[in-house]
Amino acid sequence: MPRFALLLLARFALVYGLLVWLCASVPVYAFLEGAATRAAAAGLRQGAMQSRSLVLERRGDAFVYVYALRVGTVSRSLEQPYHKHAFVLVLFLALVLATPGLARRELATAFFAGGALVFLLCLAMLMSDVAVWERAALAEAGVAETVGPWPVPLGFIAGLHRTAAAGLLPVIVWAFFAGSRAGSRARRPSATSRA
Amino acid sequence: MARGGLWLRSAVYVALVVGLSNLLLLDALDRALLEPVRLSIAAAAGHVLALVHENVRVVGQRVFLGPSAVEIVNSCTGVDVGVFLASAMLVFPAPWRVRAQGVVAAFAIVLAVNFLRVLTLCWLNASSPHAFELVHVYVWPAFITGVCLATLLVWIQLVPERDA
Repeated sequence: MPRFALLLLARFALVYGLLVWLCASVPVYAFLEGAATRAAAAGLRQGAMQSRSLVLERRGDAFVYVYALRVGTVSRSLEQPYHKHAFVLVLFLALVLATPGLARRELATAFFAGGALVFLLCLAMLMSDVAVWERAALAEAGVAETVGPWPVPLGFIAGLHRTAAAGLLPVIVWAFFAGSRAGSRARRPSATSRA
Repeated sequence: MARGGLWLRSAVYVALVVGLSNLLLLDALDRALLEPVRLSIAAAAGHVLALVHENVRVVGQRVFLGPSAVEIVNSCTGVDVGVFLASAMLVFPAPWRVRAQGVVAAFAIVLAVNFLRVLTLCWLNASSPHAFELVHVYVWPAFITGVCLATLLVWIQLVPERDA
């Protein structure tokens, strides 16, 4: 296992470096954050007395989230700085790609299914941010009780987002799988030892 | 670990981490645990940096190198990272003595590496703000992730086989 761990870490450093370089060369983060923003905007609560919209807009070299909100008589357009939530996804994908000994099917499953789950985590973090902006804006306008921008509970995401957990969570869950896989491979008798 | 056990452990881990990460946001815990840690890290960093740099000042949880300052906030303490790594060891099937050793090792390793992180970031903030941004956002998070991964994988190997 130390050999497995060393190999995994060396490959992780290499793949992560390559992905970071790729993200710096082409706007991968902006693409992923744009996708997350559109997905989040699609589920925003709308109604006769409330309307909301969320977009990621380019401003020169930077991006900003523009969140337009109307609840009752309160109407606000909030601009918030861009945050690379997808960093967590890049970290996870680098780890999956760096894990030695995965069959093609396992790699594809981990990359796409695992990546989709981590993307949902990034989406939840963005939604949690927007919920915080809305709550603050409405509190400032004297509206204390709000239903929130989405009909799903997001409170539990706050802790993950504001600590290192969001980044570590997929990595450690993946380590359980990789560790157990490496352990079972090490325990499996080889053809030579059986002979 | 069998497949079923693996999924169950992962689910327990996710639940534990979600609970603990929200617990860390409580004001009472912040005052009792995180604030003293923030102040201690700032003071210790100030002492170490003063050995190699002139004009080091520590004001509360801020470390000044000349005019530039780094503020030690909760995500700079490493406590959250330690909690999440230790949680992984707590949910892994192992004798309680081995889990306890893992928890102690997890905190010791994470806090030590995090302290190095704080020192390098204080130094870079004063000498090269561009490099500070790069190292802060891309290098250290990945490095700490790698350290956590290595610690966990090596610890899993140390768990007696019949319990794994």
